[in-house]
Amino acid sequence: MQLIQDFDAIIVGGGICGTGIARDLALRGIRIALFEKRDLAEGTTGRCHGLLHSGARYVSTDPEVAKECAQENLILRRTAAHIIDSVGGYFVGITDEDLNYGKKFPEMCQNAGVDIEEIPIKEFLQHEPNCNPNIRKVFRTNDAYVDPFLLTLYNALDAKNHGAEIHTYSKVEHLILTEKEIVGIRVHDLLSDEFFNVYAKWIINATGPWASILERDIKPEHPLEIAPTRGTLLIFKNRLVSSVINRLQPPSTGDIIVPSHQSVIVGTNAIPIPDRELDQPKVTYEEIDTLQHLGEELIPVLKSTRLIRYYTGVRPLIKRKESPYTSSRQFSIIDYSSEGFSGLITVFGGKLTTYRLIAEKVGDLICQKLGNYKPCLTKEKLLPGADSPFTKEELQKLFQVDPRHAADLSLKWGSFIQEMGELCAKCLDTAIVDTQSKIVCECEQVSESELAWVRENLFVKKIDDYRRRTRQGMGVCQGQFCYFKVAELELLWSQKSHTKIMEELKEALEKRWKTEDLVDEAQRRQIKLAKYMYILGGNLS
Amino acid sequence: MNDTSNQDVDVAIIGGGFAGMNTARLLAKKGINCKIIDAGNGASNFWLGTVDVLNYPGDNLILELAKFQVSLPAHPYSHISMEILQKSLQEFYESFPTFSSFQDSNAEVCNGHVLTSLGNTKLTTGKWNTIFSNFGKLTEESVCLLINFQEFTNSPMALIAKGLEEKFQGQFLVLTVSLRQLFQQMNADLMDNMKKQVISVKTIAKFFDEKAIHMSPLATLIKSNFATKFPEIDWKKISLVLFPPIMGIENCPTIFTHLSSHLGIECFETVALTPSIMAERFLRQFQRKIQVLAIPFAKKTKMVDLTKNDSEWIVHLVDSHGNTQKLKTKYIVIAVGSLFTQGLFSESYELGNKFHQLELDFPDSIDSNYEIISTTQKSNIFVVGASNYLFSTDLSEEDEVRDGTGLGVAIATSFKVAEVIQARIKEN
Repeated sequence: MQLIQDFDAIIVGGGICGTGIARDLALRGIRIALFEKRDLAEGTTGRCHGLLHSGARYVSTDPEVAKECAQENLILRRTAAHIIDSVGGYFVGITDEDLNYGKKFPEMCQNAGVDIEEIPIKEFLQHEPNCNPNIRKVFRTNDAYVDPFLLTLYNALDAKNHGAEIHTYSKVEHLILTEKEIVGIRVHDLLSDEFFNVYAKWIINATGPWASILERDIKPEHPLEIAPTRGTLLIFKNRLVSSVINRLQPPSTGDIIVPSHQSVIVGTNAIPIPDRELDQPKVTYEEIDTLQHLGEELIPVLKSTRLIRYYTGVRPLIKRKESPYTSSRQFSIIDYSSEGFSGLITVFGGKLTTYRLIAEKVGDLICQKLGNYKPCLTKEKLLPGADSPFTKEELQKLFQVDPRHAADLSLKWGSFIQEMGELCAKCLDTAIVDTQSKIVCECEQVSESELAWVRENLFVKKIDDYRRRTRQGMGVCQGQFCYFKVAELELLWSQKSHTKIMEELKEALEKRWKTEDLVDEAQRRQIKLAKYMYILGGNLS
Repeated sequence: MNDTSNQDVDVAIIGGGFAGMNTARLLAKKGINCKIIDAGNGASNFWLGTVDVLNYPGDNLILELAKFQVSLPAHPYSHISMEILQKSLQEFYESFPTFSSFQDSNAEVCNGHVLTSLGNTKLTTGKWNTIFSNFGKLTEESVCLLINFQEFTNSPMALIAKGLEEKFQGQFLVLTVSLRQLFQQMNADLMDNMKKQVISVKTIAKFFDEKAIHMSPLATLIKSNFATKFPEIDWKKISLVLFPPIMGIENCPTIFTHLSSHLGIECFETVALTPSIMAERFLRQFQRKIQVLAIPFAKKTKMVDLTKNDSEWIVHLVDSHGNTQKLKTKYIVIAVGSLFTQGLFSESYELGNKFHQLELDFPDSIDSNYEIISTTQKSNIFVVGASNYLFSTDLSEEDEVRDGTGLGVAIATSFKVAEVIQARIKEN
């Protein structure tokens, strides 16, 4: 890869923060490149609830963050409308303790500028019949679901459309320094196994919980105070609630349930971890058990619902002495000029909901440093795909799916659906006259043309990358009946060898099977069957 | 809920997969009164069409058995004698002549390659070896054609072709053929159905069964599609044609005889990764034997408890309607497989504990009885097939998946257990 050219700024990290900054800067006409060691949104960003906060969650611990969330929520609903499921949310109280908190709740919300409204329990239970009938107090909020993967990818796409370079599977080995100036980075392209240097005026460290690692290269006098804090989430089969359900409490364990596509996500907790566990955080059985029990307090039917999968993400919280729950969700931007270094900025902390604001602040700072005073455009400008969404009926006709899946489709692609419809015909064998798009993933009803489109447009490098973009393999069977079909398509579309495809297939499947030990019996059997099928039937050792 | 009166059988067989049905068949042939209890989640439905008599590389059965005894002494194979293994296979091939194509001409050689649906190769026996000996004959000029049915997406033919290309000489081309187009010519009803819904694999197989001796339209379609897609390649260069595993349930050999003759090229099937009709073909043959022998087969029925009354066992059963039944029996054969233990362990821990208090008889010597014993006395509870893994503390899931518990284990252990039960009944 020949990349030895200058950029105004380099962003390290391809999570929502890094891609958000990339878009912000690219829209201002700044020449940038982004490097991510894995896939976009594979780290902290892809391991969250996907909750677009109303702000109400943080009114007691972090009124500033609550306010930011409330404002950003409204902006994103407009600029990323296609990937936001405006499900709304409820704060529900069951115990006396909950009700006590509920007394102060409306006032705290009002102070932070977060809209809430108390509603009768009967009305709530009509909307959410699966919720605990013993719920005693309910407030309605402005929560929503946002697809964290696609939010990241559309930011990256827009950045690319405005001249940015996006490089995934490109690990930044270290910073390149001259005296007290950071002038570039040394990159390891993990796919081609090549090393090269890239130079820029500013390096933006947006690696979230990994931020300390890059910063160590300059040995600052006052190193970052990051407390990497793990949060575990459980995915259950079936969309048991139609809105976000929050426990009427200060932030604590197992207090949020989010409906996500055809499932619900229950979480989360906060467990500080040492740096060495950043890449391989481990979940314990006790954690899962605790989260499931807390989830059951809100939705009793969870007890008999299949736990499909669990995952854990590491938040880059700012270190404080108190409990991790009261640790601030505020973000920090660190400029090392005070330490005598120029050319490096580190950004960390914050929420998925406030990513745009973080990017705007970083953008302002970089512009100021570069002497370029173009204004931020992300408050108004829509993300790619957010204009003219299709109707459900149009989608049903185009993809031959039922209304449920039509809703899912529109939640992913917005106005890009048109391009996919056209791809349908293209990606089929030309000798065959057939206009229907083949369904590859039965659980999530992902079609061949969606895979073809993301491959062309959304930075797909490996077999497992399709999953994050389309939800292929995220359903009940966890990829059992679709990964080999995706492998075949990748083989047809790429120049990769059979051996390479098999390696990628194995890697992708092993990620899916990793959770085998701790999921419930039915899911364990499902994974065993998948293993049996691939190892015995496919000779995938 | 009804509680029907007690019933008596000599042997209650828990599990209606290959191992269970084979035990029942062997016992019933000798006039022993047995009953199959099947919960209906059989791993047998996922059989992929390979006979992994010993899922290990090598060419000598005796040597392979010895290797198992050294490397995995807890493996069900390690407890069987060469004599029993050979006798069980002989009996099996005599009873199922259609499967004799899996048997190699040299009785001691039992391993060959099988082409798997990811384009990898693995070692197993019989028919698949024939494909590989054909691949061995390919030259750089040879062309091998892989047929891909447009409407059947579970066989990744391009992946298989690419895998073969890296291992063998010659060109491996994928040709897509539309079943829709075929149905249009041969079966208007199916064509109409296809517009409305996805046609199931079984429906496609049934279609091929019905038209087994009328393969000329398919051959013509293949030839004309080939001429359009690969105009520069001479048809005569093609040495082999491979098909997805949906070519009929009952008349597969006939279909391939006719296809081969119409195309003038030898035709074979590949294996699919999803539950395919490979298993269906075999299960049907088995079920027919079970019917002929009039063996009672309780479907969707679970064993929920097991109690003892003097020297007899009482098996407590519940069917899908919630009706309970007690089955009095002298002998019990556990044939529930290990992957799908529903109804035995997952839903009834108490029942599971009952078995864990007992131990599976795996003595140091070979030729074990596969019997669960309670330290001193005989339990008359036997374990066949993959269920052996359930009772073994020395075998991990990884061992199971790696070394297989396929048809070979089912055939050999059920044969042995049937012999032991038969001998005990005679004694008394």
